[in-house]
Amino acid sequence: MSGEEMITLKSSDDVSFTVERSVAERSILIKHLLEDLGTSTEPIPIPNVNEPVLNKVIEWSIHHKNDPPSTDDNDSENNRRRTTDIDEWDQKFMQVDQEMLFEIILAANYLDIKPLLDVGCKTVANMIKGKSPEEIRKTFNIQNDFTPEEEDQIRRENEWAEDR
Amino acid sequence: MLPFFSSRKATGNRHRSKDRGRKFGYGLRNSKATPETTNHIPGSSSWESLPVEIQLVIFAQCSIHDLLPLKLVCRDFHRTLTTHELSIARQYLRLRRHGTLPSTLISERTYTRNPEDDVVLLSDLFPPAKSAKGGYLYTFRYLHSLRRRQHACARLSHYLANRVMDRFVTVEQPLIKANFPSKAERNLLFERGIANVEFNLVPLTYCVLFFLESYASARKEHMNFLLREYEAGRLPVPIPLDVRTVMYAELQAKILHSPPFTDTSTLIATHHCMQLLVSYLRYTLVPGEFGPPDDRWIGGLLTISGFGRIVEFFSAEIGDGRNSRAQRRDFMVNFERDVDQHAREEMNPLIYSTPSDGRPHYSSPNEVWFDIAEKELRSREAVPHDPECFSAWNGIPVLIGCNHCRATRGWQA
Repeated sequence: MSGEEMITLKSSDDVSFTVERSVAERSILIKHLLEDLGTSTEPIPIPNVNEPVLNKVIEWSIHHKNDPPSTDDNDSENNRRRTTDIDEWDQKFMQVDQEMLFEIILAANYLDIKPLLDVGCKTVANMIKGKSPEEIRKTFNIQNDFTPEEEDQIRRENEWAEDR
Repeated sequence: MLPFFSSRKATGNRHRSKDRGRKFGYGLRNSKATPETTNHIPGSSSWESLPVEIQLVIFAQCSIHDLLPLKLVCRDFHRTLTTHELSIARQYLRLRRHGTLPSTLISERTYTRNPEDDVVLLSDLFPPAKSAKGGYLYTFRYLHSLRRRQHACARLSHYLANRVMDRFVTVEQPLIKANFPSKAERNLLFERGIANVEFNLVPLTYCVLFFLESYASARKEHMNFLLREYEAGRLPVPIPLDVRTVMYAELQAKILHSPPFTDTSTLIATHHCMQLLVSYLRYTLVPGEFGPPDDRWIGGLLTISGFGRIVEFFSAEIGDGRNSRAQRRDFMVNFERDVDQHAREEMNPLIYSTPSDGRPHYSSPNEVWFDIAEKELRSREAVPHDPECFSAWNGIPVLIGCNHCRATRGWQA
């Protein structure tokens, strides 16, 4: 075990996780908090994230702890990779049920872990790509509340988009 | 820094409160691994838990062709996509431009020719319409227009690369057989050669498309100007052919004096791509089959019909997996329609005098791009210059150039 400072995070349901500081600092929210607090042995409460979700977020953070920090949108190599596919480990990591997937996205958003948020959003986008409206509804369990006339009108208004 | 945070309430204590400490790494829970992450709960959707800001990020990650199906999912989706169209379109483009957007200042645009930056170049060449306040109007329709251009350029690059490699393996047959004894190896050389040449041609075809579109709209604007002059009584006689030729040359020169052609290496590369295009139109053209036997017909294709019809021509020539004969017939019908439309809309007899033989006048290929580009290259002292050198495969150099290129080792396409 390295001599790195350990940080304790406490989930919304009061479960504590002890992790290396570099793992915790994948979250920009926690990073800024630790900078403000200085050295602290008190557990850091994560009120919006429950145990199973925090468990997953930490699993992701451990795997990616040595990744270069994400930057703002600029012309970096990191950004160049954005439009490519999700890497293999992340794909396997995201093979969870839909509720958990959405919870991970919300946790990544709350904790300000942009690369994890990107992977989550890309995973959901991949579930949409190439599907018909009916298939999208089925995938996300969404009710069709359009009348046939409304659907026709939307198609007519967007005829230019159907020319592939 | 993320611009948005979740506004959702805490997910609540779904698990009994347990104040037990735990070192991470011991007893990681196994997630429920499912190949397709669907989880249907009647009457509820996990989607509803996502704040609008995250929905927008997801929509921007989808393909351009997914936006209409998404609008048709439900009223909420339609409302989100309609209300936030500009924001989604901007994010969509930003993601594909490695984090940037086209500058509203022409001098600050990128004009990269790196094949990996194709969306950057394409959107810099063809920026969105400007709003009244001077910003850009990012719309789904604009994204579709970029996608269509990208698709047309990719197709033309593929067809040209196919013709180049076809000619290469035909002309250099003995050499290729000696170096690639098995048919499988030769097929591999052919396929990889097409892929490599195509990859490098794509950004050059964007510049060709930009020139042809800019020239077509400049001619149209000029004709409208002349029409106004005629209506004001300042154009007593129709303009003769030689004067029209000079006017058209001036319109082209103006385009070449503007970005991206102010960059001389871009001007040279586009010149080489135009040379390749016209050469392969000549190689593939059987005299008399599609029109006049001289290559003024090619000038007509470049100006009257434009880029899309050129793609159609090569598609018909190669067959492209469909009935080549039917494609050629369709091409001819469409080309004749282009000529009729051109005569009706662009060759207004009140403005331009009809040639003495009464037949439509096609500009020669030299009158489209080549004369003006060569003059411009000389004025910039960019003659001679180096050809574009692409590797077909394993270091076999394929040269795309012109008769002003320095002698370079490689196969001249």
